[in-house]
Amino acid sequence: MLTFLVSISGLQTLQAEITEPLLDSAKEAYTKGKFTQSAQYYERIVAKGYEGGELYFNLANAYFKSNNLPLAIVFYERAKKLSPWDEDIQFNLNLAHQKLIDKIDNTPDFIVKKWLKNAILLLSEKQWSWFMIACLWLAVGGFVLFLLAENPNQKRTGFLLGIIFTLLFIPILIVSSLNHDLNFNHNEAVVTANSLTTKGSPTEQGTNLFVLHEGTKVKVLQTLGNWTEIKLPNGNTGWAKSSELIVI
Amino acid sequence: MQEKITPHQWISVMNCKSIKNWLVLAIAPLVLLSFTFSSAFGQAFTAAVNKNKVNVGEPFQIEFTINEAASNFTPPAAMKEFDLLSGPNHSQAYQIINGRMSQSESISYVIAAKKEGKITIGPATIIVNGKPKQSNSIVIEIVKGGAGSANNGQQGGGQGGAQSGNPGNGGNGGNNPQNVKAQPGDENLFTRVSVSRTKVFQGEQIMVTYKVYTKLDLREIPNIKFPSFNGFWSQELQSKWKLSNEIVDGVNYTVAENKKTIIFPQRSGTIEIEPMEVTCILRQRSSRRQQSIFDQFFGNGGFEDVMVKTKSKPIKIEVLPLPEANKPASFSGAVGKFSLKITTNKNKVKTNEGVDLIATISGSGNLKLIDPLQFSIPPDLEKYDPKTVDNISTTADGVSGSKSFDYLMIPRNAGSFKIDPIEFSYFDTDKKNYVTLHGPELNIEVEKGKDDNNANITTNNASFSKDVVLLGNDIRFIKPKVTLALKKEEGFFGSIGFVSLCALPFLFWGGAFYYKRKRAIDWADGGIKLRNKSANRIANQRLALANKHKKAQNNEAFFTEILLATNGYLSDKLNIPVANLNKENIANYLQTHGVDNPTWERLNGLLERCEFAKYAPTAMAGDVESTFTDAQAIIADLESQLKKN
Repeated sequence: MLTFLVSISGLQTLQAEITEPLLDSAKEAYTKGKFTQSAQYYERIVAKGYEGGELYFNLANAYFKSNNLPLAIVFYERAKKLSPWDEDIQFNLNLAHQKLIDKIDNTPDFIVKKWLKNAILLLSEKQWSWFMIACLWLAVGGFVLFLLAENPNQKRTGFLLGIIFTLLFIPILIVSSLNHDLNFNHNEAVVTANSLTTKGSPTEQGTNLFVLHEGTKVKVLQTLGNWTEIKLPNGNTGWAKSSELIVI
Repeated sequence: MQEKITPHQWISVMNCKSIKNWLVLAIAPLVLLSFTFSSAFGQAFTAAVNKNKVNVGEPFQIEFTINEAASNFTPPAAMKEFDLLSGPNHSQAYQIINGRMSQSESISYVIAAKKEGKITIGPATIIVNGKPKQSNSIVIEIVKGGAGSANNGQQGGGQGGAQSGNPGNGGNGGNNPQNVKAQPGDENLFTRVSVSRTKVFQGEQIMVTYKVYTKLDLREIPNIKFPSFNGFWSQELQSKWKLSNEIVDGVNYTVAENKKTIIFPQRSGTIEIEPMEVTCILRQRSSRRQQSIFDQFFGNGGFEDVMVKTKSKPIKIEVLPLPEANKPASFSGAVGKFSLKITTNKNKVKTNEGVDLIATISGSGNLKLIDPLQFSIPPDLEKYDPKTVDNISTTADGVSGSKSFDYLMIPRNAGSFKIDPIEFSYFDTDKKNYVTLHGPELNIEVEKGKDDNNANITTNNASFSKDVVLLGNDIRFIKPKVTLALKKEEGFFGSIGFVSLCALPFLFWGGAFYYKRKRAIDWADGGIKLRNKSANRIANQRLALANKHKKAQNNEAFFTEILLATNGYLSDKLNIPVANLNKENIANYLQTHGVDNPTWERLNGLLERCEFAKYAPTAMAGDVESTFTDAQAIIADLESQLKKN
């Protein structure tokens, strides 16, 4: 355990040595208006295997300023996943959406759905998972107490605890599984091609269905070879070349 | 668009010439004369013919004009290849216009070609102020005419003098009346729309001139249909009819020039200017031959007015688009050459006093199309829509002048305000590039007005504060502090650790269940086995308690505890309640379970001692230590012996 902690702290100092200069250069380039250069610095940090809401937000800003709208949207979306409560991300993302060519009817979520989504994102995936485990332990603990206690009062308490935590455990299991899906299931993508014609089947010869433009966000249904089946918010689906999309 | 020249105007222009021709008619009927008013225009020494395409033997006129005093006229050598029918005929004219005198002299010949072909009549020379001057050359194309036409030509030649006498029609001398019937597109009458350039940039100005060329007697232009300039923004130049002479392909024409229009192409590509349609009334010789001598004398017989319509050719203008490269943000379509001047009427004001900022753009180009300049001012200043003052003049050189925008600004709060330099961009057609002009940076000092009404307003009106004005929209700035974490491809949920943590409580539960089951089996015989098993443990616990009492020198409690320990042990082992224990059943049980006699004796001794001590604890005080060790030893012996069996 101790060696593990030591190795973690060692890793962190190592990480700071590598990333600090890159972060500084990126910030400086951005402040001086060299946005493309700034984006390159941030990309190098990402390439080293790091992530972070602020990192993705800054990178998205650099892409936005250098007129690379699709990548800006990709990274705003990724940043939003990591820091769902950051207002700045949503603000900039909204501005980026205003520049898009496609105006896909983005009907706002039902208020209940919005609340649910907010509730799911209230805690991180790890926190939800631990919460769920705690509930499970307490529920089982309650039943064990019920099982073993001789005092009728203790037995009753144990049973009550067991029931309460079982009832709590089930929704938390669902929520943490949904949170996991949101964070780790890459089922959304952004169009990177200037204009993308979707096909009725995953072949070049497929019937042309509809045309999307860069920066539009779509749902990913499945992939087949070099093709991805996508779905628009209005329900239309079609096949697009995977190279013309970036999965968020 | 309709324009009309009244005959009265026309005649007044022609006046001096007409009178002279009338005189000539009276005195020398065979002398040909031509226009003399041409001298004020054109080159210094010009040669002109009335036709440059003639039949063999057809008489035509060649005229040399000089607008200075000259001598020693030498006709061109090529003249010898023609039959000289008449000439040289000299005429002189003097004109005083606005106190400036000009003179012109013309020498004309009537000649006829001898044979067909192309003959270039080379330059004639004349001496002006001792220096020789040369005229231009003229190419004459001679075609073989039919016998009839040759005949007509001779006839015409004979009557040329009489015809030349008709007012304003000196040019058609020698022509048969049938030949001069003007037709649209005819060389005798045509119209031209001329443009200053045919290849321009979008927004660059083009001067369009409308001209009616004629060799005939143009009396009136009752109707003109000017082109409608689709694709252009046009600006008309007010002008009157102007007459001049112009030589086209060596042929002298009277040119009536109307207004000019300045046009600015509004889109790129090839734009066609539609033709101009002109209706002219021409006076020409009547085809009727009955002319009384009286009529001829007064010149009003044998002529008729003919209405002729003529149409110019359409013109194609190639409009180049303004380059997209380097197009400044402040460019809004100004093309030409401009300068920018920014002034304010004061730099120091009090709050709520107006400041005028005047931006003046002067130069030439599409001034009228320049929109008010856009610039941002600090939000504490109120800017009003500008008042635009045009001072634009349209002359033959194009549209030029100035346009000024007067912006009224009222500072609402005190402070020092900086206005960024105002920018104006235009496309310079000479440099073929964009030019951006910058005004100076302006500073306006605003002091708080002293006995300002505003003060009252502020106190009276509690809601003086305004909403914060949003000036622009931009994405939010990057985060200065970035925390990084190594990227996780998979989450905790569903991982091995997660699953094992979930499985663990069920194992506990299983364990608990198993334990409960086992305990239930143990208690199934009423707890005999269990009590038997735990007898030694309970006895030891009691002994430990007794030891405590011993140390506290609480003898009574000590002996009670020892007794309890021993009796409890026996009760558990024998499965007999403590109250029913007696020597007999203890001895019986111990013997059947193979406990030897000495142990039984010791136990019995111990029990008796304890019983005794219960009633006289002080008497047994000395035996406390030995009793304790005895009890320990006896219980240990019993346990070991009972276990063995």
